[in-house]
Amino acid sequence: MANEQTIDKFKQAFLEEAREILVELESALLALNENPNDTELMGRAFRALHTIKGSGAMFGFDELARFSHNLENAFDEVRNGRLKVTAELINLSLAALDQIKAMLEEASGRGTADSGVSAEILAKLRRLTGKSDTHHAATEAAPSSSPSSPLAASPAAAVGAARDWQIRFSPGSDLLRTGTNPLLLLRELKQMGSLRTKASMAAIPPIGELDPERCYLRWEMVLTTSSSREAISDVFIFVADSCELTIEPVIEPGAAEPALEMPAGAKPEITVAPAAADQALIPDAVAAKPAEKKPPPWGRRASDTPDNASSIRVPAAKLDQFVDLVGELVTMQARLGEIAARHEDAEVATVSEEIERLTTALRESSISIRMLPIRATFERFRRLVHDLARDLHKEVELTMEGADTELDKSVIDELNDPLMHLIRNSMDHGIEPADRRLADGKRPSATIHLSAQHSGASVLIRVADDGGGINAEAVRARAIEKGLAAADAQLSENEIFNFILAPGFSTAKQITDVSGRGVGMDVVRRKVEALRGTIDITSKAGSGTTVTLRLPLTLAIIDGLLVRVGEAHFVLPLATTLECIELTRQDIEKANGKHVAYVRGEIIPYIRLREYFNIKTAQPEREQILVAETEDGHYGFVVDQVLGDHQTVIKNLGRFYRHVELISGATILGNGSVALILDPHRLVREALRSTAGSRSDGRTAARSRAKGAAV
Amino acid sequence: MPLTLDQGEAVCLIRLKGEIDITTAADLKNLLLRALASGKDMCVDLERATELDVTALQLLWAADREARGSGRSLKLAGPVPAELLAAVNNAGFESFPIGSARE
Repeated sequence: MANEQTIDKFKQAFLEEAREILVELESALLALNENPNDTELMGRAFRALHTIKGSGAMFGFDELARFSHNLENAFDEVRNGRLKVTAELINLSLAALDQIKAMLEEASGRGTADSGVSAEILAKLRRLTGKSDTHHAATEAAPSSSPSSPLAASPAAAVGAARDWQIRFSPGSDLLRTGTNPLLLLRELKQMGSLRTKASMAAIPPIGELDPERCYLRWEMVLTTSSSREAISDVFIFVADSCELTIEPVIEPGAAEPALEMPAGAKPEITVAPAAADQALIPDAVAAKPAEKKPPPWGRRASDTPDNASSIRVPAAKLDQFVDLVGELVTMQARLGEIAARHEDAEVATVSEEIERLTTALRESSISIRMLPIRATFERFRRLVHDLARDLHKEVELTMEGADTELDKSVIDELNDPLMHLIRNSMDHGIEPADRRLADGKRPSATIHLSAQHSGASVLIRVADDGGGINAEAVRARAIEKGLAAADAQLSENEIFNFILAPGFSTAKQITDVSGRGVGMDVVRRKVEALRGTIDITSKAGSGTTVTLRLPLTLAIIDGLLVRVGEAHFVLPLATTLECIELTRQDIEKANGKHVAYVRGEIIPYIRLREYFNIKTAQPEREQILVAETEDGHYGFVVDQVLGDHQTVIKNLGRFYRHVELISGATILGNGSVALILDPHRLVREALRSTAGSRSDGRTAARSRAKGAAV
Repeated sequence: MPLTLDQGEAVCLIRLKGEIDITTAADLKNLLLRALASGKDMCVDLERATELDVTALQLLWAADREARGSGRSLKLAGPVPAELLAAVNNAGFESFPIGSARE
């Protein structure tokens, strides 16, 4: 039956969303650790747990539901002020969160969750909350505090007094198809107190006309519980917009108007009908057309995420395919443009231009769809920092900046590992123990600052700490020892720091759990290089280290400038290009053969691509210099001709060319030939490096050697 | 197969095994319709069923009503596992959707 699949799909959706909720829970817990009295945060943690429990149970993850239920109860206590937020509770909750994560992983067929760990966490939790079993104690107690106790009817009754609620529940016709099991909801209600349930079969049609996958049953219940109306309606949180639900206190004569004690935050989804005199069951007419809109796969209340209400979830693979197709379209459009230009037909030219305009717009919007803020990745490290600080007995505060900076999803996905290694390194090696810091006149609490910022077609991501900095001398000595540098080599600080990125390089005398194996930074380097990014390390002894990752905004399509040198075509990223100027023979002579140009009084060193790539065709009378903005300042690239802008679909060159750093990929031109995409930063870096013995401050040094720089 | 139908001489025996839920609902409906169409009395064996969800309960209830309407009987063949009884109770059914209690 197709249903098996449908349910699997819902389960999949649940697992995916549960992971997101865990991220939310984690951030709430960590924030709560900082502000233990913030009721808003307590509520957030509670709701996240409640959601995981409720939907977990609905999709048959009973173990998960049971486990989170206990945790949820603890947070209910917190919310009600009966349990204090302590570091112990937070740490335990974080451990529980990891266990939930493990259970989810297990459910999706990756790894296994150790049920021993669950038991251990629950035991600790019980000790903390001081209850034998948070949940059952409460349920068992409720009915015994007799429903007819005088308190029960009093609307002003304090939390904790049991009272009767009349609940009518008519599931929408699609309830079952969305994977919801109403019986589990009833069971959940039952756990809140004593429940009398009456099902109405009045709506069940003759069996021949019965749709087997539709819920025809209606329920009327009386629940005696000490829980609030909110807690009751929370049970129906996932079905609220696909069912009819009324929850009313059972009024005893003389009691005050029920509306008065409606909690301020009563959910708008719940229609609180006036206390109807007749207790008849809901009319059996096919009144089950409650909400027009179909609930999402596993209904999250729209009000939970107002700004996401109109968004949809798309598998990343589909998006990749979409962007690929747009890429193909851009390539074909370039071809069309080329043909149109050759035919000199005004009509064709108009159409071609129009198509170009459209593909550009399409390309931009397809890329923007893949752009995500880096916040989620950044936020994830709060936990890492929290845990490591605890394990290393250091006080570390994580600050962030520019978390809303957007990056291509595929870049973000690959950033997690490198950033994690950088942060671990900072925490373990960079940041000194509190007493050392005090002795050095620093604040005992250290800071790790994560920041993201746009820079042309790149994004700069920085991990900065205010720790002890890198001991350049130690790194140098170790590099010489490992044979990475000659004993008498004159090395710039930059070059020395770059040794840190070499595989297996570590100056740590002791390998700790956290780092010191010399693997981490190599991983960082590889990942960043795979993303066509660069790493820059600056460090000042005693005051900290900053690692800057420069990453391309996107890995798919960029705006480029197509240039020609002899017969060869190259693409330079438009975002880094500042201007084009002419270079005549006279200019070259004026510069005394040095590779520099004077542009409005500024000296611009340049690299001749003709010489750089050894292109042996006649040099034209007039050449052009493309001035580009690089990390090392303004540099020029001399080409024969600038052909114009080009929507560049980046194609990988494949494994063989992986080590050619100067080239960030290739693209297919309109005429079907291939053009290499040049990376100005790397070209300049490479040129500076090849001017041997250049000692630090590249620019001035490079200027005087500009000739040599250009091979 | 979780659902089987044995056509005896005078009685149709419907056997339900394992979880009877929305994934088997369409099959259960067809099975019940076939049993009803046979014109014989019917027995439902739930001994090896582990779960009855809403779809199963309402189908059995509808089949029971149908059977009684045409003067035949739908009965339980043998005992019902305790957890099923508990589930039926939890679902707010005063009695088991099929069986003698309502005759």
